[in-house]
Amino acid sequence: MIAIIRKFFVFLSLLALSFGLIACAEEEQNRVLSYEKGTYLGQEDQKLTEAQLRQLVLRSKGQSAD
Amino acid sequence: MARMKFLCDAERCIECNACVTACKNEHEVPWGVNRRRVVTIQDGKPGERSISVACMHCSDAPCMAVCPVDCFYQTDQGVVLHSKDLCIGCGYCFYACPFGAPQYPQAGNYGSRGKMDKCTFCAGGPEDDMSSSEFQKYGRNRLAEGKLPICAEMCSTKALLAGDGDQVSNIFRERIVARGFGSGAWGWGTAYSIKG
Amino acid sequence: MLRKKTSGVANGPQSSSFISKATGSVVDRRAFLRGSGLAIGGLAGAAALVGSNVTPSQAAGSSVASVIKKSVCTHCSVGCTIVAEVQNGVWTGQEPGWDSPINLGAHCAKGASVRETASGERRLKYPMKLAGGKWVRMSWDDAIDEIGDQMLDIRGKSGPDSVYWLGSAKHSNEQAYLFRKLYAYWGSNNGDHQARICHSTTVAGVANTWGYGAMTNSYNDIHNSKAIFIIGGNPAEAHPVSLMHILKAKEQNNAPVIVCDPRFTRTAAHADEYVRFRPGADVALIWGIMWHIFENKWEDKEFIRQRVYGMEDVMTEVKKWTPAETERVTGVPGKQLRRVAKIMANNRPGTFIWCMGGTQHTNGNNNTRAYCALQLALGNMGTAGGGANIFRGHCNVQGATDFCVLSHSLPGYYGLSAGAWKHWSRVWGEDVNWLKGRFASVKGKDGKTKSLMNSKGIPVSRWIDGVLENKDNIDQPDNLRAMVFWGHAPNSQTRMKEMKTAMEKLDLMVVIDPYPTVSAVLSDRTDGVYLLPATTQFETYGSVTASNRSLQWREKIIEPSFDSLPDHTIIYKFAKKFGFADRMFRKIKVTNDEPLVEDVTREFNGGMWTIGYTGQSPERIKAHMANQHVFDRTTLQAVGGKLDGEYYGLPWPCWGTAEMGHPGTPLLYDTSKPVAEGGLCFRARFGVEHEGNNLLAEGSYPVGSEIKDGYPQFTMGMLKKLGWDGDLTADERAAIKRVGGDKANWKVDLSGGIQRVAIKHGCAPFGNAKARVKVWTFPDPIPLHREPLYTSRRDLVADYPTYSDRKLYRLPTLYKSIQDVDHTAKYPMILTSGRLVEYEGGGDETRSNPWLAELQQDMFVEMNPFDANGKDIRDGDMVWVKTPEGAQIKVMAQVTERVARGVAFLPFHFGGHMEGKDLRSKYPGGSDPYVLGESANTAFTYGYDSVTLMQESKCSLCTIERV
Repeated sequence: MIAIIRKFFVFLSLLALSFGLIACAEEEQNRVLSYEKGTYLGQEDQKLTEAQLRQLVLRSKGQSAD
Repeated sequence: MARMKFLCDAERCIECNACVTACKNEHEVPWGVNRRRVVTIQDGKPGERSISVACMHCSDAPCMAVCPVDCFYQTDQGVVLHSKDLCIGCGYCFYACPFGAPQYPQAGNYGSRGKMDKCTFCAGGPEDDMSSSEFQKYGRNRLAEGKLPICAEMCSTKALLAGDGDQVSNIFRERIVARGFGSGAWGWGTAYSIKG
Repeated sequence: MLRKKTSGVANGPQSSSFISKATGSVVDRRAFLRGSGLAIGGLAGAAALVGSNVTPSQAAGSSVASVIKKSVCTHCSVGCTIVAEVQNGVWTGQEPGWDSPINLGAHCAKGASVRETASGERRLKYPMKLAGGKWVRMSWDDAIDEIGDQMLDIRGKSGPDSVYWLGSAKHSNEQAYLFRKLYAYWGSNNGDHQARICHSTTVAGVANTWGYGAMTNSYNDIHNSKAIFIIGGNPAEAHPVSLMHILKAKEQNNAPVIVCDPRFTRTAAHADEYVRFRPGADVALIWGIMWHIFENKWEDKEFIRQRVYGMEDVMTEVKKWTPAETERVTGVPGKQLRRVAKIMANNRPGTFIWCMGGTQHTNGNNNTRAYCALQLALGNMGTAGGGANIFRGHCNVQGATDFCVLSHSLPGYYGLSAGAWKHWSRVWGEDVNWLKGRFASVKGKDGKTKSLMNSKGIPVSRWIDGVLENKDNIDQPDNLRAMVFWGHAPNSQTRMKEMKTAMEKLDLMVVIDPYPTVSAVLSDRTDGVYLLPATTQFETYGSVTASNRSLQWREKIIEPSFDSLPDHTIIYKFAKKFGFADRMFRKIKVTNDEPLVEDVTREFNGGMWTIGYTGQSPERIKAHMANQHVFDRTTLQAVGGKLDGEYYGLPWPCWGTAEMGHPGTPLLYDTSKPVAEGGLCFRARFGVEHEGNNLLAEGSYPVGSEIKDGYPQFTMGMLKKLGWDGDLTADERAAIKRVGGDKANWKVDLSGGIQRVAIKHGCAPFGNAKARVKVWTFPDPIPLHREPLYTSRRDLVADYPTYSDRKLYRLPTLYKSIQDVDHTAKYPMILTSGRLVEYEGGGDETRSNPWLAELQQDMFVEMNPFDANGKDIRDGDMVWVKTPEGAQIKVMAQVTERVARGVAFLPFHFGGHMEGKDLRSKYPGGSDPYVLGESANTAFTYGYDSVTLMQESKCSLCTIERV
């Protein structure tokens, strides 16, 4: 009897654990959960286009004021 | 284009704090969080000089090196940004930063730290450029609008310069020549010495 | 490091829920951005939790387009262009105005945060009245009715002079003009504004020296300076953007910067030569410098011969100021002053800059005239890079002064004579006798009845005495019984303890302002106080005059917030209530009680001939604002295009009518250009001779002048004598005939014909004379050093005593009787005051702006470590600053070498604490500024200039003790 209960308990524990692990899926948490040391794993930023960069270079001139 | 840099000309900075309020205004930064501040040395004595300080977007950024969750990334233009989704507010970057740039808004009643906030070089964060979520978390993305950081663009004496490193150097160099002496660009050794 | 850098959220702004509920109809910025979670009170860290629809940058990249509006900063007088982004009627962002030739995109802390000034949540929101000690909301109609009835009642019982109209340097030109007209129609000269306590001694001193009382050159023109002399001014904090121009000259011309100030200011930190002198010793210092100039014959003899009258008398006075005597009085060693004199002599032209440190003294008019004398001796006047560059303090204090929101003149400095009233009555289309009937009269000493129409009113610095003085001693029928504070911070005025008493004695107090101001909380009144919400200048439109005399046009950025109304609308409502709106606005279109601003501009264009506010039509000013990029950034002259040759903002005098197309006068008294192209000479204002000496210029005249010598001001008779009257058109002739024929002069000819013809022949309409360094109509014709009333140097009183007591501007005014009492045993330290960069004026607006308030959270007193250690005071301790008239303020000690031993400095922007008591609970709910503090002026004492009644707020006595 005790053995059955124990087995059932172990089974429950495993079940709970597996549920728990499922809840660790990154998509569901909407955040990074595993890290790779030294590497950024977050959302990727957009790059500035050539046109934007050109505009920024032109814009610098306003700061000289001379 | 070379990388983006900030330069504060201590001979011109008059500690007017325009950079500080322009930043607050642009990004709706709350009370208690200072992405930029002005530091004065020798206050009230001959030799008094002021320097406007924020994240310098270092080449080998110490904050990136120490972050336990690697929330930082550097753009192609050298701007150091971070993801508030990844940040855990641990405060390591604050201790690593030679400029005292990282800020932590109070998150709860017991002084617990919120996610780190810092100067973005007016470049927002990883979210879609100029999206509402980017604005909520990081403030306005001026670079994407083709504009440079507001603090430098509004500086009262044009002491604070921001933009393409070569152009910033050129503007500064012309002034040094006119002055006949150079005091060096404050903080450049620390921020950009390694990779330039 | 400064304490002000304290961060922390302790006294941060509270949530905005109250306002969002209250605003109702108006979309405010908080609501607009609320979703962002980054709005004030939110925290960046919490941002990720909240959803949002709109960002300032692009309104979420959606359909809401950004509209760009241009305005002008409402803080100091530099005149920085504000570029506003507006979405859906909400002001969402500020961009640098690169095109502005004045600021080139630059701002200071205040300018970079003006969006909050207009959109802030601590605004005064509705008309309110204090009833039974509580603020009660009311409608505009009820408010105007109740106030108007009470005023009319006071008028009936005590006469029109018992209501005081206190105007503002923050009004636009049009509002200032209408305000001046309002109290003229009300029938009193009891009106004034901040200029009285800011640069009145400059205007009086300078106008009496060479004709006009304004900054002669421009901020941009400093680019041409070879030396920069700053005295009693801290532009790095008070006019930060001007430092852009100053540092440019310093770097590119290698121009030495000399700063003379009792305090080592942030400006001094950038100086090549810092001269620390004792507060109140300006005349002694200047004469001490000029001693070296004359001793070494460094003066410009030819310039003096041609263009200056009375320099020999100055030389006689200066002879007394040997290096030893100068050091005894000012504390500055002769060696340093010789160096300063030599720098100024070797680096010409040099500019001369001064501010409140020079003006706010009992002998302020002496100081300003001594400064002029130095520039005249060096020949630095009327030339690019030279000049008397008087930096005005408020955004439109120049304009409000020009429109004479003052107690002693009608607009355009016409004065109060019968002729002046006739002139303006003509401009207004008014019957001058009807106007006269509005005024009270009194019996003069000779027993004759005289109308108060021609008698100077009480100046703002003395309104307290207008209430408290025994009415038998005042030259008007009764005491002041009602005060209207229309855009005025009471804490900018000295003697606040007595002011509190005066406020409590009044029958009626009306505050009209975007913020409640200290007036709302200072007194212990429980009734009879009204607060009416005015808009900021960002919620209306009109012209504004920068310190360099350029006019700029503000566009309306957003609609008025809450229940606020523009000042000109409120003026109209009062005029309507008093029953003279139809007369006062007969030439001005009015829609829904709002006068058409352009019509107001046109009306004053038709009357302001004296100082050339006639050529700046609304269309011309707007065209300049729209084409800022075409103007040169040093000369301010347009290069090419439709505006070719015009100077930015048509700096006055812009002679003649707009049709005449005068380009404006960028530099006053500059003879190197023809008058038609902005050249000028000194004005013939003081007659043609004095004691047998010729006052007209000798052999000096603007390029192209057909008269190659000095000449008096132009009249019709003079045109005839010269044979130039044939150049007048028939219309001009008729107009001149109407105003007096041959006697009609360039000031009263409403056609502008006399001006046009004079200029056509290369002449200045106002004549061509010498400047005078001897003003024989003033108490001290040659400026004298006089010890302050509360002097720390009793040993100097016998040699340099102050004036005798006298009656000025209707009121007894004390000098000698105050100086006679020695307070130095109990109050050994000198007390002085000044500005901080983050705040402005009384600070109600700026302390209500969280971005600024966060930077300066504590009122403080600066004291030298020597004095602090002597009293066992440490940096950061709370201390009492006590002054001889019995006031004390509780402030934080800032121990610093910025001030000399024996000198204490107070910033004057704080308010809301009174002698240790916090008055926060007395503000209307939600309208209390984020930062409160003791007002410096609670501690400041009695003392008024002998010509203008400027208050003494730069030199008193105090003692400092630990709390």
